Amino acid sequence: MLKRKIFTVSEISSHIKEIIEKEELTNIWIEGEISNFRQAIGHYYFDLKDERAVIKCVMFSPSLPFTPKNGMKVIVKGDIRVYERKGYYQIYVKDIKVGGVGELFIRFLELKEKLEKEGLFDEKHKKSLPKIPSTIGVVTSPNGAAIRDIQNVISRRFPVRILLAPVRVQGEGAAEEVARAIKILNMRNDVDLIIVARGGGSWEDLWAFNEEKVARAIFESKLPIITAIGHETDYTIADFVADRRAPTPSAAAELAVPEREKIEEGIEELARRMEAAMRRRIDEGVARMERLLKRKTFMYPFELIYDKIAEYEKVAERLVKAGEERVKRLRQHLAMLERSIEAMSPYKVLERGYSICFRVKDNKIFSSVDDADVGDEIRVVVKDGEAICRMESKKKK
Amino acid sequence: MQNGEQKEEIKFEEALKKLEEIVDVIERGELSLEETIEKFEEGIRLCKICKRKLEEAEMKIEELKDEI
Repeated sequence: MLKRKIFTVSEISSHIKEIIEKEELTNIWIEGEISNFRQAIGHYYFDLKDERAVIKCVMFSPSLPFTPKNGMKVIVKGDIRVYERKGYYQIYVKDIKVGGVGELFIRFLELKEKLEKEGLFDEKHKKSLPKIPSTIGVVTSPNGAAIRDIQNVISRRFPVRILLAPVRVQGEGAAEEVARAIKILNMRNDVDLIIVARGGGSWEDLWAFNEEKVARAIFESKLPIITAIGHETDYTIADFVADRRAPTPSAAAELAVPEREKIEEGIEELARRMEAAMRRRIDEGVARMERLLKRKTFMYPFELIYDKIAEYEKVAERLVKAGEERVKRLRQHLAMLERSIEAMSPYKVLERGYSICFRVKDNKIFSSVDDADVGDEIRVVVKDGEAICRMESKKKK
Repeated sequence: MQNGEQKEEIKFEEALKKLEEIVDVIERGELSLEETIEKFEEGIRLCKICKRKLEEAEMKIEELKDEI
């Protein structure tokens, strides 16, 4: 397909660029020897070669702990890219490791990848450091500069107890000793933070801290661990697993303890806040009491009673009034009853000329001729008196 | 007595944390006056413990005797 067209140089060049600049050619590690090294406006330009081939390299704004030299055996990390203006491909270098460390370096990368996959570097496993440890376990060489640096910083900032676990930090058996020291410190109950430290050295010197044993011991530690291994630019596997990584042993000690003056100030501040809050609380109580005392109950205590008395009097008055009313009505009612009873009285008819007769013998009303016989005495009641009469005769209608 | 001994044993960081909690509680102002005074007294005691522990702090360096 490509053959059917005539390309411009730019066209084919950008096509080549697309073919070369693939994912698999980025962030790769390449081992070789530096030659033709030169610096220009802060950038490095050199060739990386072995017995059979050469690749051009460029490193922009390098920040390396050393300056590369011709003949140096190195491993570079970078991306392969095409430089179209000059018509060649080159390595855009991001990092350079020195020395005949090829094999070790591969082991480092492999272990790093493996442990990373297992999650040993995960942020979620990172323990927080105690604010103020009472005893710091330090895993390092008893003769090295690291322990002296840590001691100096700690005595200056905040003197605490240091428990040194003396180990070899390089050479045969160093990794085992470091791992064991971490385990032993974990078994004690007086340590609350561990610093694993080692001064600067070559890549091989630091190797113990790239061993899996050490990484596992750090990961399994229940106590938080700060690592400070080598120089600021050195990263070991131990650093990746640790809860915190410090660039130097002194920096690790600074992470481990706060400044005593700052803590003292903090306590003073707390005391001030507490006193202020206490004062506020008391003032508040006093103010509440004063407000209470200003209320009517305390200022004019009888006023409340006066009110009650007045209320009582009003009720009593109403009660009396209601009583009087009721008595008056009862009286009226009674008078009315009296009048009607009077009206109904049989004696009333006597007034009008009637009389009432009773049998004398038993004082029963005599209202029928059958009620008495001839000769019986009859009492006749009239309006102004009575008379006893004897029946002479009787006749039924 | 036993109580007193326990308070002596309190770790600096623990004492400081307790003190911070007490200050928070007092500042919230939700406690009764009696409770506030009680907390205040405890706070003052913790302050003294913390300061004393700070003053007493000195660096000791010991070496682990266990075989490594």
